[in-house]
Amino acid sequence: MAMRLQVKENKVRILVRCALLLCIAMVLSYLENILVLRFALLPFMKIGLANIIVTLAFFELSTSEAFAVSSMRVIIMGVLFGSMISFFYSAMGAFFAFGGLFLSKWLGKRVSYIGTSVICACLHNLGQAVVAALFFGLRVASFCLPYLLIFGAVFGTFTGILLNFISQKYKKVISK
Amino acid sequence: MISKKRTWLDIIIIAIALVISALLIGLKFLPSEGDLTLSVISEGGESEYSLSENREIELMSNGISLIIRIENSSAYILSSECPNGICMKQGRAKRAGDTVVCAPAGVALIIKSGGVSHGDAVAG
Ligand SMILES: [Zn+2]
Repeated sequence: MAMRLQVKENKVRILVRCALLLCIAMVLSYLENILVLRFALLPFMKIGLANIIVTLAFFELSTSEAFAVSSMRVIIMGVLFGSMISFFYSAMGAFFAFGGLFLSKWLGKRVSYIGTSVICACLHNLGQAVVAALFFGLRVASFCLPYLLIFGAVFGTFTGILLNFISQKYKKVISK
Repeated sequence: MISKKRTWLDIIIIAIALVISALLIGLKFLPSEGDLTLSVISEGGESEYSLSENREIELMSNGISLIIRIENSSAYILSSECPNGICMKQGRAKRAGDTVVCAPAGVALIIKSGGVSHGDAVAG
Protein backbone atom coordinates (compact mmCIF):
# COMPACT_ATOMS: atom_id res chain seq x y z
CA MET A 1 0.00 0.00 0.00
CA ALA A 2 2.70 2.40 1.04
CA MET A 3 4.70 1.46 -2.02
CA ARG A 4 1.78 2.09 -4.38
CA LEU A 5 1.29 5.48 -2.85
CA GLN A 6 4.98 6.14 -3.32
CA VAL A 7 4.75 5.27 -7.03
CA LYS A 8 1.74 7.51 -7.49
CA GLU A 9 3.45 10.36 -5.71
CA ASN A 10 6.43 10.03 -8.05
CA LYS A 11 4.18 10.22 -11.08
CA VAL A 12 2.52 13.36 -9.83
CA ARG A 13 5.93 14.80 -9.04
CA ILE A 14 7.17 14.16 -12.57
CA LEU A 15 3.99 15.57 -14.09
CA VAL A 16 4.23 18.77 -12.07
CA ARG A 17 7.91 19.11 -12.88
CA CYS A 18 7.23 18.72 -16.61
CA ALA A 19 4.44 21.29 -16.48
CA LEU A 20 6.74 23.71 -14.70
CA LEU A 21 9.57 23.19 -17.20
CA LEU A 22 7.11 23.56 -20.07
CA CYS A 23 5.96 26.90 -18.66
CA ILE A 24 9.52 28.19 -18.41
CA ALA A 25 10.34 26.92 -21.91
CA MET A 26 7.26 28.66 -23.32
CA VAL A 27 8.09 31.95 -21.63
CA LEU A 28 11.63 31.73 -23.04
CA SER A 29 10.23 30.90 -26.50
CA TYR A 30 7.92 33.87 -26.37
CA LEU A 31 10.74 36.15 -25.23
CA GLU A 32 12.87 34.87 -28.08
CA ASN A 33 10.14 35.52 -30.64
CA ILE A 34 9.98 39.14 -29.52
CA LEU A 35 13.76 39.53 -29.55
CA VAL A 36 14.09 37.94 -32.98
CA LEU A 37 11.40 40.19 -34.45
CA ARG A 38 13.16 43.26 -33.05
CA PHE A 39 16.80 42.53 -33.65
CA ALA A 40 17.14 39.68 -36.11
CA LEU A 41 19.43 40.25 -39.05
CA LEU A 42 18.48 37.10 -40.90
CA PRO A 43 15.40 34.98 -41.44
CA PHE A 44 15.36 31.72 -39.44
CA MET A 45 17.81 33.14 -36.90
CA LYS A 46 17.28 31.73 -33.41
CA ILE A 47 18.94 32.09 -30.04
CA GLY A 48 17.58 28.80 -28.72
CA LEU A 49 16.55 30.01 -25.28
CA ALA A 50 13.93 27.30 -24.88
CA ASN A 51 16.55 24.70 -25.69
CA ILE A 52 18.23 25.55 -22.38
CA ILE A 53 15.34 23.87 -20.59
CA VAL A 54 15.17 20.87 -22.92
CA THR A 55 18.93 20.26 -22.66
CA LEU A 56 18.87 20.49 -18.86
CA ALA A 57 15.91 18.12 -18.68
CA PHE A 58 17.65 15.66 -21.01
CA PHE A 59 20.87 15.41 -19.02
CA GLU A 60 19.70 16.10 -15.45
CA LEU A 61 16.31 14.37 -15.55
CA SER A 62 15.30 11.95 -18.29
CA THR A 63 15.00 11.58 -22.06
CA SER A 64 11.23 11.24 -21.90
CA GLU A 65 10.79 14.39 -19.83
CA ALA A 66 12.98 16.35 -22.21
CA PHE A 67 10.99 14.99 -25.16
CA ALA A 68 7.67 15.84 -23.50
CA VAL A 69 8.75 19.41 -22.79
CA SER A 70 10.22 19.92 -26.27
CA SER A 71 7.28 18.53 -28.24
CA MET A 72 4.59 20.16 -26.11
CA ARG A 73 6.32 23.52 -26.42
CA VAL A 74 6.40 23.28 -30.21
CA ILE A 75 2.75 22.23 -30.40
CA ILE A 76 1.38 24.79 -27.95
CA MET A 77 3.45 27.67 -29.33
CA GLY A 78 2.35 26.63 -32.83
CA VAL A 79 -1.32 26.65 -31.90
CA LEU A 80 -1.07 29.95 -30.01
CA PHE A 81 1.17 32.08 -32.19
CA GLY A 82 2.30 30.33 -35.32
CA SER A 83 1.36 29.94 -38.90
CA MET A 84 1.59 26.60 -40.68
CA ILE A 85 5.07 27.39 -41.98
CA SER A 86 6.45 28.64 -38.68
CA PHE A 87 5.15 25.48 -37.02
CA PHE A 88 7.09 23.33 -39.50
CA TYR A 89 10.19 25.42 -38.87
CA SER A 90 10.11 25.04 -35.13
CA ALA A 91 9.05 21.38 -35.24
CA MET A 92 11.87 20.41 -37.59
CA GLY A 93 14.33 22.56 -35.62
CA ALA A 94 13.32 20.95 -32.33
CA PHE A 95 13.52 17.48 -33.89
CA PHE A 96 17.05 18.06 -35.22
CA ALA A 97 18.16 19.63 -31.94
CA PHE A 98 16.89 16.58 -30.08
CA GLY A 99 19.06 14.43 -32.32
CA GLY A 100 21.98 16.62 -31.24
CA LEU A 101 21.26 15.71 -27.62
CA PHE A 102 21.67 12.01 -28.42
CA LEU A 103 24.87 12.76 -30.32
CA SER A 104 26.37 14.54 -27.35
CA LYS A 105 25.14 11.84 -24.96
CA TRP A 106 27.13 9.43 -27.12
CA LEU A 107 30.19 11.70 -26.82
CA GLY A 108 29.75 11.47 -23.04
CA LYS A 109 32.23 13.17 -20.73
CA ARG A 110 34.26 14.43 -23.69
CA VAL A 111 31.87 17.35 -24.17
CA SER A 112 30.33 19.81 -21.74
CA TYR A 113 27.11 21.77 -22.16
CA ILE A 114 29.04 24.17 -24.40
CA GLY A 115 29.74 21.60 -27.13
CA THR A 116 26.26 20.16 -26.64
CA SER A 117 24.57 23.54 -27.10
CA VAL A 118 26.62 24.36 -30.18
CA ILE A 119 25.75 20.99 -31.75
CA CYS A 120 22.06 21.43 -30.90
CA ALA A 121 21.90 25.05 -32.08
CA CYS A 122 23.60 24.23 -35.39
CA LEU A 123 21.41 21.18 -35.94
CA HIS A 124 18.33 23.19 -34.98
CA ASN A 125 19.24 25.75 -37.63
CA LEU A 126 20.05 23.02 -40.12
CA GLY A 127 16.57 21.59 -39.52
CA GLN A 128 15.05 24.98 -40.26
CA ALA A 129 17.17 25.29 -43.38
CA VAL A 130 15.78 21.91 -44.51
CA VAL A 131 12.24 23.27 -44.17
CA ALA A 132 13.28 26.46 -45.98
CA ALA A 133 14.65 24.27 -48.77
CA LEU A 134 11.34 22.37 -48.97
CA PHE A 135 9.23 25.54 -49.14
CA PHE A 136 11.48 27.97 -51.00
CA GLY A 137 14.04 25.83 -52.78
CA LEU A 138 17.61 24.86 -52.10
CA ARG A 139 19.06 28.22 -53.06
CA VAL A 140 17.40 30.12 -50.22
CA ALA A 141 18.47 27.50 -47.74
CA SER A 142 22.06 27.46 -48.93
CA PHE A 143 22.15 31.24 -48.75
CA CYS A 144 21.07 31.27 -45.11
CA LEU A 145 22.86 28.17 -43.85
CA PRO A 146 26.40 29.52 -43.31
CA TYR A 147 25.11 32.48 -41.30
CA LEU A 148 22.82 30.20 -39.34
CA LEU A 149 25.82 28.03 -38.45
CA ILE A 150 27.74 31.08 -37.23
CA PHE A 151 24.80 32.16 -35.09
CA GLY A 152 24.46 28.58 -33.88
CA ALA A 153 28.10 28.56 -32.78
CA VAL A 154 27.87 31.96 -31.08
CA PHE A 155 24.57 31.53 -29.26
CA GLY A 156 25.28 27.86 -28.56
CA THR A 157 28.49 28.86 -26.79
CA PHE A 158 26.60 31.48 -24.83
CA THR A 159 23.83 29.12 -23.68
CA GLY A 160 26.39 26.38 -23.03
CA ILE A 161 28.39 28.55 -20.65
CA LEU A 162 25.14 29.42 -18.92
CA LEU A 163 24.20 25.72 -18.68
CA ASN A 164 27.59 24.70 -17.29
CA PHE A 165 27.14 27.35 -14.64
CA ILE A 166 23.54 26.39 -13.80
CA SER A 167 24.32 22.67 -13.60
CA GLN A 168 27.23 23.27 -11.21
CA LYS A 169 25.61 25.85 -8.94
CA TYR A 170 22.02 24.70 -8.79
CA LYS A 171 22.43 20.95 -8.71
CA LYS A 172 19.94 20.66 -5.84
CA VAL A 173 17.22 22.68 -7.52
CA ILE A 174 17.21 20.75 -10.77
CA SER A 175 18.11 17.26 -9.54
CA LYS A 176 15.70 14.32 -9.48
CA MET B 1 27.21 11.47 -18.87
CA ILE B 2 28.19 15.05 -19.58
CA SER B 3 31.11 17.15 -18.43
CA LYS B 4 30.23 20.20 -16.34
CA LYS B 5 33.40 21.99 -17.32
CA ARG B 6 34.64 23.13 -20.71
CA THR B 7 36.48 20.43 -22.67
CA TRP B 8 38.75 20.40 -25.70
CA LEU B 9 36.06 18.81 -27.78
CA ASP B 10 33.82 21.82 -27.04
CA ILE B 11 36.37 24.11 -28.64
CA ILE B 12 36.82 21.76 -31.60
CA ILE B 13 33.05 21.62 -32.17
CA ILE B 14 32.82 25.43 -32.19
CA ALA B 15 35.78 25.58 -34.60
CA ILE B 16 34.20 23.01 -36.94
CA ALA B 17 30.94 24.99 -37.10
CA LEU B 18 32.83 28.20 -37.89
CA VAL B 19 35.08 26.58 -40.50
CA ILE B 20 32.11 24.99 -42.32
CA SER B 21 30.26 28.30 -42.43
CA ALA B 22 33.36 30.16 -43.61
CA LEU B 23 33.79 27.61 -46.43
CA LEU B 24 30.14 27.96 -47.43
CA ILE B 25 30.37 31.75 -47.47
CA GLY B 26 33.65 31.55 -49.41
CA LEU B 27 31.93 29.51 -52.14
CA LYS B 28 29.61 32.42 -52.85
CA PHE B 29 32.45 34.80 -53.64
CA LEU B 30 34.04 32.66 -56.32
CA PRO B 31 34.42 34.63 -59.55
CA SER B 32 31.43 34.34 -61.82
CA GLU B 33 30.48 35.24 -65.36
CA GLY B 34 27.40 36.38 -67.17
CA ASP B 35 24.66 38.95 -66.56
CA LEU B 36 23.65 39.81 -63.03
CA THR B 37 20.14 39.15 -61.83
CA LEU B 38 18.27 39.95 -58.66
CA SER B 39 16.66 37.10 -56.81
CA VAL B 40 13.95 38.10 -54.33
CA ILE B 41 13.04 35.55 -51.71
CA SER B 42 9.92 36.05 -49.64
CA GLU B 43 7.13 34.12 -47.96
CA GLY B 44 5.66 33.52 -51.38
CA GLY B 45 8.79 31.90 -52.78
CA GLU B 46 11.54 33.10 -55.05
CA SER B 47 11.34 35.35 -58.10
CA GLU B 48 14.04 36.75 -60.36
CA TYR B 49 14.43 40.14 -61.99
CA SER B 50 16.90 41.59 -64.42
CA LEU B 51 19.20 44.18 -62.90
CA SER B 52 19.55 46.13 -66.13
CA GLU B 53 16.02 47.49 -66.04
CA ASN B 54 15.06 50.14 -63.46
CA ARG B 55 11.83 49.34 -61.64
CA GLU B 56 10.06 49.06 -58.31
CA ILE B 57 8.73 45.84 -56.85
CA GLU B 58 6.01 45.89 -54.21
CA LEU B 59 5.50 42.80 -52.15
CA MET B 60 3.92 41.48 -48.99
CA SER B 61 5.63 38.92 -46.80
CA ASN B 62 4.89 37.80 -43.24
CA GLY B 63 2.24 40.53 -43.10
CA ILE B 64 4.83 43.23 -43.79
CA SER B 65 4.72 45.22 -47.01
CA LEU B 66 7.95 46.26 -48.70
CA ILE B 67 9.05 48.17 -51.76
CA ILE B 68 12.22 47.06 -53.50
CA ARG B 69 13.87 49.30 -56.06
CA ILE B 70 16.17 48.30 -58.89
CA GLU B 71 18.23 51.27 -60.01
CA ASN B 72 21.48 51.59 -62.00
CA SER B 73 22.22 47.86 -61.84
CA SER B 74 21.79 47.76 -58.07
CA ALA B 75 18.94 46.78 -55.77
CA TYR B 76 17.85 47.95 -52.34
CA ILE B 77 14.87 48.02 -50.02
CA LEU B 78 13.25 51.40 -50.49
CA SER B 79 10.70 51.04 -47.74
CA SER B 80 9.56 48.41 -45.28
CA GLU B 81 6.99 48.38 -42.51
CA CYS B 82 9.13 46.04 -40.42
CA PRO B 83 9.68 46.97 -36.75
CA ASN B 84 13.45 47.45 -36.84
CA GLY B 85 14.07 48.97 -40.27
CA ILE B 86 17.57 47.48 -40.42
CA CYS B 87 16.95 46.37 -44.00
CA MET B 88 16.64 49.92 -45.29
CA LYS B 89 20.04 50.80 -43.85
CA GLN B 90 21.86 47.91 -45.48
CA GLY B 91 22.59 49.85 -48.63
CA ARG B 92 22.65 48.53 -52.16
CA ALA B 93 23.42 45.11 -53.51
CA LYS B 94 25.22 45.21 -56.86
CA ARG B 95 27.92 42.53 -57.14
CA ALA B 96 27.30 38.79 -57.37
CA GLY B 97 26.85 37.43 -53.85
CA ASP B 98 25.69 40.74 -52.36
CA THR B 99 22.63 40.46 -50.15
CA VAL B 100 20.10 42.68 -48.44
CA VAL B 101 17.85 41.07 -45.88
CA CYS B 102 14.69 42.02 -44.01
CA ALA B 103 14.48 39.41 -41.29
CA PRO B 104 11.06 40.24 -39.79
CA ALA B 105 9.48 39.98 -43.23
CA GLY B 106 11.58 36.95 -44.21
CA VAL B 107 12.71 38.74 -47.35
CA ALA B 108 16.14 38.44 -48.92
CA LEU B 109 17.57 40.14 -52.01
CA ILE B 110 20.44 38.19 -53.54
CA ILE B 111 22.47 39.19 -56.56
CA LYS B 112 23.29 36.25 -58.77
CA SER B 113 25.19 35.78 -61.97
CA GLY B 114 24.14 33.85 -65.03
CA GLY B 115 21.03 35.69 -66.21
CA VAL B 116 17.35 35.20 -65.42
CA SER B 117 16.59 31.52 -65.57
CA HIS B 118 14.25 30.50 -68.37
CA GLY B 119 12.76 27.50 -66.63
CA ASP B 120 9.60 29.01 -65.21
CA ALA B 121 9.79 32.55 -66.50
CA VAL B 122 6.55 34.01 -67.81
CA ALA B 123 6.84 35.39 -71.33
CA GLY B 124 5.78 38.94 -72.11
ZN1 LIG C 1 13.15 45.22 -42.55
